[in-house]
Amino acid sequence: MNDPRNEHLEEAAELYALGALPDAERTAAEAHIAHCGECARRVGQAEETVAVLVGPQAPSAQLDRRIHALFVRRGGGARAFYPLVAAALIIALLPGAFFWQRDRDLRASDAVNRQAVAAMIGSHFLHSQFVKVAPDAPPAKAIFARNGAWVYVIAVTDRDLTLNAGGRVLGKLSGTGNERAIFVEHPPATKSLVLSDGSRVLAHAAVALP
Amino acid sequence: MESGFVAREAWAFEAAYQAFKSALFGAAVGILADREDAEDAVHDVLARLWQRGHAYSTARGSLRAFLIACVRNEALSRRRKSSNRLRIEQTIRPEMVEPADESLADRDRIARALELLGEKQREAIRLSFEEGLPYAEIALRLNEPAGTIKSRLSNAVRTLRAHFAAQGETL
Ligand SMILES: [Zn+2]
Repeated sequence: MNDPRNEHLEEAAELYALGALPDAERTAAEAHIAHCGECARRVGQAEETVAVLVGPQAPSAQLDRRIHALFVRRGGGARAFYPLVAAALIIALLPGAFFWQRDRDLRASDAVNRQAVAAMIGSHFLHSQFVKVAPDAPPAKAIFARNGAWVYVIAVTDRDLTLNAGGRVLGKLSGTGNERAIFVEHPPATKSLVLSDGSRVLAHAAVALP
Repeated sequence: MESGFVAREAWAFEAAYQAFKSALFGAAVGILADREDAEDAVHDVLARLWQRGHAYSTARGSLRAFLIACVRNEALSRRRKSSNRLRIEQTIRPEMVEPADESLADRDRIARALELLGEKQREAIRLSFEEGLPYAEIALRLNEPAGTIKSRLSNAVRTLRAHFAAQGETL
């Protein structure tokens, strides 16, 4: 069999909708449907036909409650991302330096990163790349909660850096090796974050912290 | 709701459940007989689709049909597992199925549609739809080549679709 991703499902579309494919063929069909609109449509039509044959029956109120509990976040507020989605986003956002570090066990000094990851899992967040002002500015990125609850800044450098906003010092970045980070809760409202080495401004990032 | 479902938003999942729950539960209980098992199947499908993502796209068409297909598959795999277990335990599962609360008109309509199919097609669809057998097993039971059964099932579904479309069924 050729790569099933390149072959249209043909008759397998109706069998897929009936649930008459063995697991391996089912998985292959799903991989194909994911990127073939034509087969997705054919499967959809077959699924609609099969659905007509299904007799409706009301479930108990108990199921209503269980389903409701699935989708309502305890403690209020909409859950922005499911943790796995958040984790995928975080990995996409972090600088390369994080990766070799991630492959080792997270060290005790990584409390900042862990705190940030926990915050990201729980909220909608945005990110912004720092723009260099000084030629020797390190690559850095800001990730911040849309509601302004926190900001997390990571820089790939071994130098001591300070994060400023609105003329205020928010704190010093900490870390080991080639990575420095800071996690700030309840930062002041600002449109710009500034990284400095104590005496000079090195880079700034446009943010929207309400 | 469909776009919210694609974006995996919690409200869209709950709205989809509320809109289609009778069909979803009906699909599960038709296969599993046991109401509690059937509710677990519906619950687990929604939880999994929400947490791990899903293959639904608007190209696929009806969200209702997509969810019914997911629930049927979950129910079929649960039934396969439990029938294996039962075979080992050599016990008999009590019959707990209740008649579906679909109207007589619905049942009549489906019966007439199935009559459109040839006898061989109808038997293949019955083994697939009611017994949940994969096509290779249907082929073994009917003592015919697997390729023949594949074509027969595919043709049967497409015949039904053409019939329902002509009848103005909501497809
Ligand atoms: Zn295709």
